[in-house]
Amino acid sequence: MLSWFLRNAGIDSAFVERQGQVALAFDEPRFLWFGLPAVALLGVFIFLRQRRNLRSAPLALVSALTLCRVVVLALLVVVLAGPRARLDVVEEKKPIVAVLFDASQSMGLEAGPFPEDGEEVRKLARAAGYQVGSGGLPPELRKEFNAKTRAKLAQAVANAHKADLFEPLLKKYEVRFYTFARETQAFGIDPANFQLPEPVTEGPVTHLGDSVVQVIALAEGRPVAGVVVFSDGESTGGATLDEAARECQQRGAPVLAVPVGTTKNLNDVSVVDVSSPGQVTLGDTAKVSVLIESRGYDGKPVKVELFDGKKLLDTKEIVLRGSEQQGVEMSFVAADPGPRILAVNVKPFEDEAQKDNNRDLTLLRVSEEKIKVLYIEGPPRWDFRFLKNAMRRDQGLAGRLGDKVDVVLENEWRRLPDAQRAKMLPRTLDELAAYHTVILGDVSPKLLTPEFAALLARAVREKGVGLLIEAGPLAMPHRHAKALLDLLPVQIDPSAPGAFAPTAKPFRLELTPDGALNEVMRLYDDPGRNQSAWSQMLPYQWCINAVRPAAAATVLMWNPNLRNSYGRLPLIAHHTAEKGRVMLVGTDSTWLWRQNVADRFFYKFWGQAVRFVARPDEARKKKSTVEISPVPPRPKEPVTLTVNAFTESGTPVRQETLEVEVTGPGLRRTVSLAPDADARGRYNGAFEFPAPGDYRIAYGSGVTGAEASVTVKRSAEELRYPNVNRAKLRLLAGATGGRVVEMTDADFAKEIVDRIEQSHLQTKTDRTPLSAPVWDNWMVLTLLVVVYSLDIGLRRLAGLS
Amino acid sequence: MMRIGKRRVWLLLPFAALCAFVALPGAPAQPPAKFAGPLDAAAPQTELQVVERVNAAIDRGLEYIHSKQRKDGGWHNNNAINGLATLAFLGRGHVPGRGKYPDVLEKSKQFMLASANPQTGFVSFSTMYEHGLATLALAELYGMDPDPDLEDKLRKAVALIEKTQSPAGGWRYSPTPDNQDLSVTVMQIVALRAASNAEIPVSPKVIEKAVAYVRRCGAPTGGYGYEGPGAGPQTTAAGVLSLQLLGQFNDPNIPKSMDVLRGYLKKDAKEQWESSGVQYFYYFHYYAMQAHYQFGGKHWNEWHPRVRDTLLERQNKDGSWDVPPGTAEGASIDPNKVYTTGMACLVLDIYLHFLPAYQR
Repeated sequence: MLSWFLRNAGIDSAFVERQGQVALAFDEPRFLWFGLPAVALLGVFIFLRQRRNLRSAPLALVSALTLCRVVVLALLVVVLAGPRARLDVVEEKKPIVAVLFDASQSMGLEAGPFPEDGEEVRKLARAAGYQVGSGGLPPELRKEFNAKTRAKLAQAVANAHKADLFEPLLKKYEVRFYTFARETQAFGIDPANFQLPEPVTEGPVTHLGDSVVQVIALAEGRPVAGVVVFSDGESTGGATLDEAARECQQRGAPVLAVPVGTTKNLNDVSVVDVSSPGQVTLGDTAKVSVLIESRGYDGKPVKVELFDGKKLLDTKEIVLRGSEQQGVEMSFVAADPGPRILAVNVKPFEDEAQKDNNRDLTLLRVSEEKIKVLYIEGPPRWDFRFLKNAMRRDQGLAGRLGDKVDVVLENEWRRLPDAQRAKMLPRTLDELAAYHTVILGDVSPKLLTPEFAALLARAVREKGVGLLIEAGPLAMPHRHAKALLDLLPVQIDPSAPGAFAPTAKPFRLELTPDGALNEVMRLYDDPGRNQSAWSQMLPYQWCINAVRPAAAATVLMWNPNLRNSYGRLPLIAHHTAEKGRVMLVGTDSTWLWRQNVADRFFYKFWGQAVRFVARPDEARKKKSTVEISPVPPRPKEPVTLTVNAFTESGTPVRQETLEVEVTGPGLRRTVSLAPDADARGRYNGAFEFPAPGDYRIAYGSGVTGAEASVTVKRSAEELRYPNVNRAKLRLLAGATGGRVVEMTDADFAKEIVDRIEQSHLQTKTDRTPLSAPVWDNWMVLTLLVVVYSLDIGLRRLAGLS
Repeated sequence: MMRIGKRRVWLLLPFAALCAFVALPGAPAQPPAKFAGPLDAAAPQTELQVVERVNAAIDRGLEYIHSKQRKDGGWHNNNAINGLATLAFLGRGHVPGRGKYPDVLEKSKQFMLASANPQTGFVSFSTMYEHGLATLALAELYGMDPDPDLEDKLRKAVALIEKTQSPAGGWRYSPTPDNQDLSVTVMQIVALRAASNAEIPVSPKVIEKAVAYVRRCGAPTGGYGYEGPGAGPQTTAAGVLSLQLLGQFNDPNIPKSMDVLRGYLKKDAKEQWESSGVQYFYYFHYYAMQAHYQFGGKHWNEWHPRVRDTLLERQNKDGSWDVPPGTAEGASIDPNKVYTTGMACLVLDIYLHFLPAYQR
């Protein structure tokens, strides 16, 4: 009845569920104390009055009429008193313990081989719940353990420790279970019948840092007593372990890392990184940086080979050294135009633990274009000294008249006689429009006069000349004319020469979601690696005084350290100003991106940026191409299929959608591509290759058609480091106040439970008072109307007035 | 391994005079700082871990150099030392007006500029060695510091180098165009390269003559000598680097020179320190490391880890570096060890790729 009443009174379901705890209370009880006795007295008065006035009416009718009026009055008094239902919701909140199981492909590798003495495998067998004596391990069991995958080993050990690990945790904590690879997924376990599900190890990458950050975020502010990670320790993308450790530190959540797999070092040679310049021009000497890691082959020479298909482009011999990664620079003269998938190969040794990681691919676009560039800089700051040299080496860039980029340096320009100065810069719109891209450095208004800025603005808006601006504290852009400021993709506050970071807290950079997809910001084809590379860039000390992005601008990079009422401040952004594209780089310290890699990232960014903003040269005939990104693609991983489509006359194809046909093992599918807003004739579409194998992607046919072939393989990322990376787990755990706990430790479970309990987090009882008015509903109104109607009805029936 | 003839050692002594100050016995060497090593001794160090170790060592070195800076901004009345110290900070990415050491750089710049002769542009207390290194440091500061005095004196310093080139194409101790040796010449070549990279005009004729002179110091075996064909390790490293910096990457002598230098690569860091066979350890490695980087390939791959590990292992607890036993630089070592520490930092800076003068 009560639940019917509460439900129909429109009261929160929490009251219905806990009706035994619901109490009635009044907002203004004084109305009751005075009102109800007054109503009682009034009832007597009404009764006596009615008896006198209605002498012919029987006593029962008078009584009923009196009762009606008393009820109405009493109801009014009760409503005035403000009756409400009150409930104290009491909730027990246990601290959270997150248990993460690595489900990436590397967890599908064998957990062994274990050291020959058998001690480790014996301890592991015990940890996995086998009854093993102190003598030798039965050969079958040893074989079984050597062949067990890492994921199966983790499952077996976790299942075997139900009683001493999970039961004590479940009593005191809310234990949440997750698997992780690229994504982190929760799964439930019945505590009464504790059994981990069969592991699935299909994750093509391991985002260990992301996963730890995510489980902390999922706690939604509740205390986290610990994060237990079963993993082989490799993290191939996403947030760095430093970032994850910081997150845990802030929340006081120690990481207890359980390495899964042998302690024995596997003999292996692995190509851990291949990096191309991304884009070169025919005739350029393209440099491909390769990073090799080896174990167990110290002093042995190997040949590192670079192939384009079957064509050998370069060979370098190195002597392997297991103490550190070895960089090798391969080079070749780009002779074939179009997207080239380059393969780096190190011939495997016979006894290598993992032979699939001796080869890796990278994509290089070889263009026939020659882009004319004018570079105007103020002082010869370091970015200028690196950039102009790199551009002079770039065969794809030229000046208006010569083979090399035109460079005007203000510090030299101002030393010239007036007549010569005037000749250094284009004087007419047509001269300026002969360039595809103009780069402006920290130039003062003495060189970049308001008149020249206006001419430049016209060249961008009317002729489509690309403008790339690198800001600087001397003049750019805060000292410049409105014509230039209006061109920028970022609104700036010109009252200050930028923002200087405190020495102890330099600025960092953060790739935006748009930036992660933009070709300018692509240091690696793989999004995870790309994100990771940017997040490891050195911090910087100066940036522009940005206010907000301009309307319709795309922000590629934020400065996460600075915020205003519009949010984080843009650091790198671009937009389209009528016909031309404008990009602003809001710092002057991109030379910091050279640490350890020299031009590899520095010029990859700048080379891509110069081409991204460049005025499209539609007069030149182009051929269609098909591209796949990232290279190499992995099964069931999203890739972008891109077609640069041109007609027979070489003009960009313009249509609403464009179709390509993907054929491969048991597959023939048509994929629809949408036009890319950033480039005419370019169409993109998402696709997932279902399984490993050789695929062909074809667009159209004949002279306007194009096709690409690609081999889809299981993740090389996951195979690059076949050894269990205890060092990385130690780094993560140590930075959070946790520790690495080996499965073979005698007190494996106790160590984890004890460390978690050291956090001294107790179950919290949260008391949330709820209340809801019980009079403000249709039932009270109905009661009032019914009683009042009864009064009138009785009077009419009795023939009273 | 190449034998170092007594005569050649003598010929190199002028470089020791670079630090033309009173020779004092070095401060008692402190035991080498123990390096904590990678997190997992068995795991190959990643590139990032290597750079972190290097950065940590350079940072300690810079702290040491900082602690020795005088109130007037100099470290010594020798602009070779002052130039080296300044370059060590720049090489780690500390630029004027920013970061942790803006005052150090400002004061050292002011000291060097104050010591420059306003008429001749000579930025030195004694020899062209000093002038070359100081000009290099000023050239690297230029563009990152809008000080007009810096630009003015740098231009004069560069002009002086051009003016004092001998008819044979080289330079010698005094700022006059009358003689030459490879050691002084290389200092001027690096300074000219830095200036040219900053777009300060350098006459192509000066470069051509310098290339010709360096080539004349080369022997068919690949070695380079102090005043003519020879094979000293220091002069060979300097000779190769100067050709590379002058854009002569395809010089046929360079591969042979790299093989000559390879003879000075020892089997481990201990031997590299104690008996590398070079008399001027820091001078040699300053040029040899750069030359190997410029050359790349197998030579670079073999060279840099050994030399790096040697320096990392031999850094003192206070951040400074001593000279290896029995080497010639010991006789004239800066008692404050700013010379050795600055040189070691510059050798290690190769991993950072920040100094524009040394870009490939």
